[in-house]
Amino acid sequence: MSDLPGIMSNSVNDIKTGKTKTGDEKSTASEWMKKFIQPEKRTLKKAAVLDLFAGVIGIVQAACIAVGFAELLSEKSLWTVIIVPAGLYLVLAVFRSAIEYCAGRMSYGASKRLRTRLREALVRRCCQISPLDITARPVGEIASLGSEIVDGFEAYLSRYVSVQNRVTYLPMVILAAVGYFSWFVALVLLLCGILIPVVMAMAGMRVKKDSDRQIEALAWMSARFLDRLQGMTTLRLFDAVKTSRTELSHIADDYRIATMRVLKTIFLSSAALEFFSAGGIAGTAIYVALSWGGYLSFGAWGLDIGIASGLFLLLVAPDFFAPLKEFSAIYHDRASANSAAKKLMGLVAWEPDVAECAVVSTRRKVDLSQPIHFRNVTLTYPGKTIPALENVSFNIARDGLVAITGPSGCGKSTILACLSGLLPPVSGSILIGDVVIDKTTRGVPGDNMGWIAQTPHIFHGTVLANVRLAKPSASRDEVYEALRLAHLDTVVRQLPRQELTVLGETGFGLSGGQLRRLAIARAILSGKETLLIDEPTADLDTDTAKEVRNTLIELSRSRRLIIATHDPELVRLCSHVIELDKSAKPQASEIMEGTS
Amino acid sequence: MKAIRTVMALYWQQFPGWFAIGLILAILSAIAGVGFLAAAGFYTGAAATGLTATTALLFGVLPAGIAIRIFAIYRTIGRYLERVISHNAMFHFLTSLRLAVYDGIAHLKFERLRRYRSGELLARLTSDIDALDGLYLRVLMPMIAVMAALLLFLIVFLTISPAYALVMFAILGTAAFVLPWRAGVTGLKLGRHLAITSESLRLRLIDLLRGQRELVLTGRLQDQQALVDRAGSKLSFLQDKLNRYDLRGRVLMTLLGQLAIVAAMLMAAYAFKQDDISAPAALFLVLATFGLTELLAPIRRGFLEIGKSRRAASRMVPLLQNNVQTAAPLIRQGALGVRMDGVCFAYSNRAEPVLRDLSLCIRPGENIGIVGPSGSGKSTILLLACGLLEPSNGSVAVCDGDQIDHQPVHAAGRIGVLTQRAELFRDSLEANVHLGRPDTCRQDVLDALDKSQLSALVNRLPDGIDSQLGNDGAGLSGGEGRRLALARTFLLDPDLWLLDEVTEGLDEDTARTLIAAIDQASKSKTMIFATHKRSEAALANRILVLKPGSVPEWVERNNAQAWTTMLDGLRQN
Repeated sequence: MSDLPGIMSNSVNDIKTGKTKTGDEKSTASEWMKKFIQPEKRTLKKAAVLDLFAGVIGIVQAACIAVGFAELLSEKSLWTVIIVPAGLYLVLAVFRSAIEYCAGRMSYGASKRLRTRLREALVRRCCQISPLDITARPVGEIASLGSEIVDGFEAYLSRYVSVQNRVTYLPMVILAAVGYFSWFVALVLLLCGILIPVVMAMAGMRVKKDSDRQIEALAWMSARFLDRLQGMTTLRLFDAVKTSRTELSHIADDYRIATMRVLKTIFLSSAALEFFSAGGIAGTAIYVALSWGGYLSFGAWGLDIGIASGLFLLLVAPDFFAPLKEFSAIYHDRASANSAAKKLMGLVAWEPDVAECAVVSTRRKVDLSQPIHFRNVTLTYPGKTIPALENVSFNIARDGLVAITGPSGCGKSTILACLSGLLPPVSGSILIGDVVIDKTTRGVPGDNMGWIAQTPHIFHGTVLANVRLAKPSASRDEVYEALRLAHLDTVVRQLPRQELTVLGETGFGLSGGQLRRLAIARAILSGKETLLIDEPTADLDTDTAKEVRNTLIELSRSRRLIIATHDPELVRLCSHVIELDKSAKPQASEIMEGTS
Repeated sequence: MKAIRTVMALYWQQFPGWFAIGLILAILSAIAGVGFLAAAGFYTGAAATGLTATTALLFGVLPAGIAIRIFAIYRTIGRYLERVISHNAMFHFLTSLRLAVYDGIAHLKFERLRRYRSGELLARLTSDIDALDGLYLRVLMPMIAVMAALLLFLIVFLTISPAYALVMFAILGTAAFVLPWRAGVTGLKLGRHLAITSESLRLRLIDLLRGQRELVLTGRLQDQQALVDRAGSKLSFLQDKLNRYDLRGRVLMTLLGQLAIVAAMLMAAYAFKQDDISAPAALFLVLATFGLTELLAPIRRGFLEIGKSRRAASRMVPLLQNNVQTAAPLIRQGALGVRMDGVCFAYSNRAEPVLRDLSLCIRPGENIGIVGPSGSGKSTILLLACGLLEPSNGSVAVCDGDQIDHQPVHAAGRIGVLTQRAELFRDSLEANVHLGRPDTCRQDVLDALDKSQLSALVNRLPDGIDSQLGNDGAGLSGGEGRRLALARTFLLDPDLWLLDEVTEGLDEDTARTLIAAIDQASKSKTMIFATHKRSEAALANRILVLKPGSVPEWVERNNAQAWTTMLDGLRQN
């Protein structure tokens, strides 16, 4: 990996090992978060200031109630005197709500934009991982990263800055207000309040570790379930559903235990918080009550605690703890956001240059009428140690039908993958005209190369959309023409909704051979100049195979077809044959000029 | 709503004890929370009016002080216990629900199973089930607890001041019923949209990742990416809308709460001035009201999320209901035959039937080939024989040596099927092979791999049979994948072999050795195979020739002329 530039080498490595690199994990995750939040920092700060302001209004409201109530309790009071604080209280309530609403919307907007940005970056990044990399994260896991984990940042993003601001300043303001009337109450609140961050820090450390484990457990469970669901038919046929269920029940239990572990710590720390805040409130209440009753006469700067000041103390005491409680709740959100960040930072690095250097489809034109030269190409699948191709050299002349043949597992498909640019060689190089593909190459050499897989992917959508993949603008007639050339038109006409039938993941209602022909139709419609075709006649019966062979010959008149096959009849029809030998696999292969 | 009721009923059935305990604890801690403040109010009120020490002791200061302590302690410990107990029970329930849904999926009819995308089914098992926890923990339980606390305190208010109780009932009732109800209505509507959108985001992401190769090479990667992004932005638009409703509801809730507090203050003070109530009672009323307003806020939030839960429940419940398991009847060991009577089959109502009125009888121990152009129903016959497909008309049965008919599904594990698409698991090679026989030893696995011509591959791999496969068998070539699936069948040693074009994608040498191995392994068993190749068809005792649009024909080996003509029509290798 050392030969790759900076960030890229890190992130590639992270994806593969599924772990972050050694070093200070914590600081990297929080640095990542910092960078992530950066673009919206100002908005979040503004919202935080508004929120703090709303908190201060709350203190004034408490004062209103206290004064109003004291007026009422006193003998001489008039209604007008009472209406004023009551009215003021309500006006302030409306004002405060409006401010809180604005602040909430502002920070939510910021969080929304950040999450969108994260989701898009994640998707871009996933596109850059080579599809042939078997060590790449399980698809299910990435899918869950894309939706759930990104939204898991919501609470953290929209509230953290605000709450952090409040917890820094609001208790101070309240303490000052309380201390103005009674230093004793201020002291009680301070003592109870000071213990809270200690408890929280202790709980926070545990929660952080546990929520890492919980996310890991969820991802593992999703990946496992997805894998088993995809093979459900096989599990059923082999009577292995029960075995798989037992295994899955262990995995589901692990997830449950991991979740409960996180929750237990959170509940315990919030119970501790509750305990301290109850202690603070009760202490205040007892002090106020005893002062009113005349049993106590200290702690109020030598003055008496009146009805109004006593009530005020009682009312703001819970407010003193409220931001602390909020902070403890969000603190756990932060812990889980941090765990998510740790997972994501391997995939999404906030550096501008990442997008440049990976598997992306470029719109570059390569002159494919030129010969193709393989020069001492050695190729290893990512995560494997044994090369799939070793030191292979051959030439492919201009156009026509080219066959790559050899025993199964000898690297036929690998050569196609290599030509398509999905799998850069470890050493050696491939020349297509003047374009060189070697270990430094990333991306597809050109957009005029098409590819037909042995097991083509069927997208969630109609037959029409699936055929139109390479040429979305194609008309229905063009699609049917392509289907006809691939000998699939009659089959499609018989589907329940013809070309508008929605195909399932594995191609509902179509057989393996029909799916292949769908892929051929797709490639025909694309109009690419070179088609790489993996085993086009496998799974087909004599007649259809013959038809497909004829189609391929027809196609080869106007473009170059490079076909990996072991179908001797197809090989016989090819103008060039490259034969790979199983025993001599690591060695160079010979070029055999066929008859055309 | 029916789905929600079903889920709740299941919860109640499975964990009645925990349910009851959690609920009682929740009610008690709701009461304790309000009681704590109310007692504090009473205590200070009693002290403030300057009672003498003895009367204070007698009339409340001391009991109130004790009550404060009890409530404070209970509020802390009780709340903790309630949360741990009810969450623990809930997650136990969700785990068992997850497995029940998995069982349901495992018993889905093959046609329905095929219609689902595995991403969709995964969502049923993970996010849908996770979305159900709020239903009880954040809606039902707090609602009941708050109702109980509200009722209790309104009754207490009623004994102190009926007018006060009435006003509070009006304000707090609005906050407790109307706002959550509104939130529920919004939540149901938006929740549905949200669920649909996040589902489509997930599917598009899966398409993006699984179809990446096709997308890259057709230059459509960016387009698919744009599709994903579009689903993402629709999702965040909806989430934004939800947030707006949420904040608005929160504001209304706060305002109602503050209205209640002002009203409480004025009324209590007025009553006190009229000498209707004492100062402790006045403060008790105000602070209890204060406590009640604090209780109400979270319920509305829970209701806002009800839509998500409902949608999750309504999608998941249908998967639960076909969870009927019938005990497999005893089938005699040994080769199994297949009998089909008047079988018709079509992949959907509108499609042309693939098979029309097919009847056949294959005796145990026979070796049967099926030939015919693609789409003529070869695979369909095999899938019918193993019970994955069910005929739209007619009957399919497997029969043992006693000629007793059984449903094919009851012979699971005795029928070995190699379909055209080998399904491999993200697991080690060994785990992939010993799927049907988890108890076999390593040597048997190696033997099976050897029979399917994979030992060379295994020896080449640094981790041997412990090598891990990627998604859907990534790391193996197509032919290797199919042979791995075949090794699985060798190890299973089935009594009925159903092979669908087993040597496709293989070179001639490998194919020949493989066929010999299969022939050896299925010697005393029944075998039905679909093929295009002459060399394979030649191994059968008789061959079923399928022709689209006409009646299937049997060709027997002893009818030499027809036999040769038929073989000549096949692919020569």
